[in-house]
Amino acid sequence: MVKIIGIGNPLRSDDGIGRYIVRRMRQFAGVEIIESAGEGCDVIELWNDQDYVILVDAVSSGNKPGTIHRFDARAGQIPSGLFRCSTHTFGAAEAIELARALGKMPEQLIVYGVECEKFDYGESISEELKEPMETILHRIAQEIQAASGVRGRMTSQQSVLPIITNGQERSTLP
Amino acid sequence: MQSHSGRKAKRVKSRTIKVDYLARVEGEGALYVKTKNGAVVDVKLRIFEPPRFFEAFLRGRRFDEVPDIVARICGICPVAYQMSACHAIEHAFGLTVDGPLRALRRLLYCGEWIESHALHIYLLHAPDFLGYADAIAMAKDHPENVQRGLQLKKLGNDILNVLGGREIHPINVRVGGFYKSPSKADLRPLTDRLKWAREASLETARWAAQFPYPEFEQDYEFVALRHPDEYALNEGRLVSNKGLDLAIPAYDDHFVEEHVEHSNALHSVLKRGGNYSVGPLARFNLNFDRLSPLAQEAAREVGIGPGCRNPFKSILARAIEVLYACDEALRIIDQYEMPDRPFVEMEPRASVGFGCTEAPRGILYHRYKLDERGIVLDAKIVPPTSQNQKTIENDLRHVVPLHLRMADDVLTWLCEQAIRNYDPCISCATHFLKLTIDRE
Repeated sequence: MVKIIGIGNPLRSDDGIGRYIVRRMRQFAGVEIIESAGEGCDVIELWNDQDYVILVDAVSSGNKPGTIHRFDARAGQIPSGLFRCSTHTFGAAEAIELARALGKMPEQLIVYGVECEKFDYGESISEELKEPMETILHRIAQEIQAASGVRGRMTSQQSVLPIITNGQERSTLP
Repeated sequence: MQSHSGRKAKRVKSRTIKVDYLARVEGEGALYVKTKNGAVVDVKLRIFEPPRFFEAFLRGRRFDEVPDIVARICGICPVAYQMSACHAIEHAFGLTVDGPLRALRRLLYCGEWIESHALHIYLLHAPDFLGYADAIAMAKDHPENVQRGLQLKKLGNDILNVLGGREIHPINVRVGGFYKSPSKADLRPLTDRLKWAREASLETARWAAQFPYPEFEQDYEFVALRHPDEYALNEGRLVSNKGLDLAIPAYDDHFVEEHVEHSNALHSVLKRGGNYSVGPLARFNLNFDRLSPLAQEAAREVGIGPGCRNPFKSILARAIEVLYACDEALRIIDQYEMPDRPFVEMEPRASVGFGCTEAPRGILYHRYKLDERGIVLDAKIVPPTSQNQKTIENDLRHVVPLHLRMADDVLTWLCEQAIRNYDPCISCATHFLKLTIDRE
């Protein structure tokens, strides 16, 4: 099962970006769209070992707002503290590492992070995040099609924004 | 498992121990400890998470908005905030919620205790005792235990889902009861899982009983709600082991909040002087006789009884409370009959209402002054962490001198563990932690 998980708090401005992105992927057939507040224990429960999971969350690592990070979580550890912390500092990165320690990782787990800046109360996304949103939508569509042959019609424009993949900058999919 | 032995520091006259950002607590805080010639001269639990001004937000809002606003104060104990608010407003309006609606509130609270306690026992506090930096490192060596903790927590969340409409900030609670009451069929699927959870929480207590506990006892004043018939969650008188016995409206006559410069959270103390302790250990000690026979038996089996003054053993009291919450939830579901109406009607009136319930971390006091239309004129909220702050600092003042021979990293570890005994929730209290130990 292909699952796309959007994490965040849509009442805290840019923090909701993961959820705003996955909401736009509902037209994909055969793909389960899941929104989560990002509480770590709940995130672990969202997949089983057969799943192909793409997870999207806001990132606060000091890079320029709009910077896109992509991690293959099966290939290596997700840096802790990368994502915005959830309750008791147990968020998505910790959930993934706990799943790894418990042998509860899905078959594939790709993590997208978007560098965000504005986490105040609010229900809108910063203007500078709109292009990165389109880029991630396009990339996820490519990943899904490459992985499972699932077809969907995307309205996003082909984008050339660079992506920091497993900590290294590149503009094409690995 | 890491070893703390063989890492003694050379003797120095004075030192500073600092934790700039405390992990495994909710919110942002730090600890600073300064020692001189072997004596602790300063302990500051610094809470730098900004104040959240919830009491001010509530002014001018209608009474029926209050439960949903206060639920936002905490993602771990939203039910506690909703319950204390509802009870305070109902007290102001002269309303009593009884029968199945009261039982449903108790069931909802059991869900929150299970969820919050399981998180703290397994993911936040157990790594301290077993020598792991965090639950992820612990999970590699203790996967079955961590899995059990996660399943317990999920059950707590699912109870909140069924009764509260969702697990983080429940939306089904209103003054007078609920927006929608569950059917018997809605609750039935929880029964088998609660029976599993009752066993799992006994296993939790047996597991925690094997942890190494520092020898440390203090002469605490424990404060908790006490109810004539039940282990108090929503209602009762406030009592202590040192003579306090008062009705909730008398709270402000006995407790006062003080501002201290190093903390954005107010410190609550007794007016007659002295700090006090709230939470699982206080409840367990004051209300042991109100626990279910099964929970009492489990406590005896794992070697904890009323009169326990070692705060490090609060993890055992928490485990017994999880067992009790499962037992109580099963009792409630078994006896539940769906009410005719999900709430009791009310008429606003100009009055002041008081409410106090047992949040997972201890008593949570709310007071509201309302006008004749039910508009909030004034609100006061005293969360458990504010009430425990002085006791936490006091524990550190006594723990550190006993262990001055420890190297800074080991002593810092012990200090953080001592703080986590109280499962502090800084977000609630600043509405918490970095540690500094200064040895001069």
